[in-house]
Amino acid sequence: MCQFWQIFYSIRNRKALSVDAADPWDGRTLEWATASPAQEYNFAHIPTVSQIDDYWYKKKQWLKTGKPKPAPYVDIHMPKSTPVGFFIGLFAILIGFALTWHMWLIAICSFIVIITTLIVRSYNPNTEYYIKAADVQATEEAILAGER
Amino acid sequence: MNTEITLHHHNADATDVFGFWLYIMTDCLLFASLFAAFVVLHYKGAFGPDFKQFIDLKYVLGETFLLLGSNFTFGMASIAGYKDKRGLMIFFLLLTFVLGAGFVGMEVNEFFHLAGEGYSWKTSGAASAFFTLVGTHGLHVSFGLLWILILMIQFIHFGNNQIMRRRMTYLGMFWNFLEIVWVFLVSIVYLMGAM
Repeated sequence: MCQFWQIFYSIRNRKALSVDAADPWDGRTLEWATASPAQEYNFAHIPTVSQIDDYWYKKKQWLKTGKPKPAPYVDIHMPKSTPVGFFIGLFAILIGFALTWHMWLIAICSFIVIITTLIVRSYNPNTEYYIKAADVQATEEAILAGER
Repeated sequence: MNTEITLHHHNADATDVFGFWLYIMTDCLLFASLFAAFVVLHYKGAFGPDFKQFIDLKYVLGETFLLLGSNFTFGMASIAGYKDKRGLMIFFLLLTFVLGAGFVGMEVNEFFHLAGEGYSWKTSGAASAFFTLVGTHGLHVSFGLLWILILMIQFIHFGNNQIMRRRMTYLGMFWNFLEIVWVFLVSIVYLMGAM
């Protein structure tokens, strides 16, 4: 009951309660090193982790040395969004249900759908794209500007 | 000099092939558990008829030669692919398909034969383990056959580009993996069972 009230309250007052900054609580761990919600590429540069609570460790270093300028941005290689996983998951549920209750026709149909989805997918050679370095830079600068 | 910059630009092929290795490893776990189940359920004191009287090693040898042969022809197809001889590659892939289909056919025939002689998966725990283990391998080979068929069609459509070469690498890993599993199957299920 309290859980539902909490969800309802959070959704109703989401504008007033939202926090814009990427790291509002001065977090210790890596997930606070990127914006919330995260950009579609997660990190402009994949972070190298050398310590437990690496973000905290880096923050302590930055206290001494100052936060370094970000390295030059590069194009980021991304997979395109696709509904294939959703369809396969949906029909995998159906196939499991049908096999459990011996509904052979549904099971066979779901199986054929899954295989066909995979084959159709394999005919699409353009499943990846690049986010341009300039766009990455624009996004990153917007995040930094919003940071307190 | 700065590795974190180059990671995004890293040749995607290496990452993708590593992903397929991960898949092969999960398949290893699957077969390992099935092997373990078979070994545990197949001790002499178990209920049900002894599997020993049903083993026909000559038949198993035939199956083995078909699968080994298909592996050899697949290797030839890979070589033809590297040399960019598309016709030759499709010919060898077709040969691989025929040999693999022969293997699956022999195995299905063996299963029906065993069931006819009164050794079906309902007979005993050992029989269940046997049919699950060997059947799972056979199912893998069947999917591999479907894969070979689709890859041949796509080679005719797309030609020999980078994506197709990558898919050929995956299929090669998959097919070799099944061959290795079969070697273990023959040694543990059939040879040790016959002794």
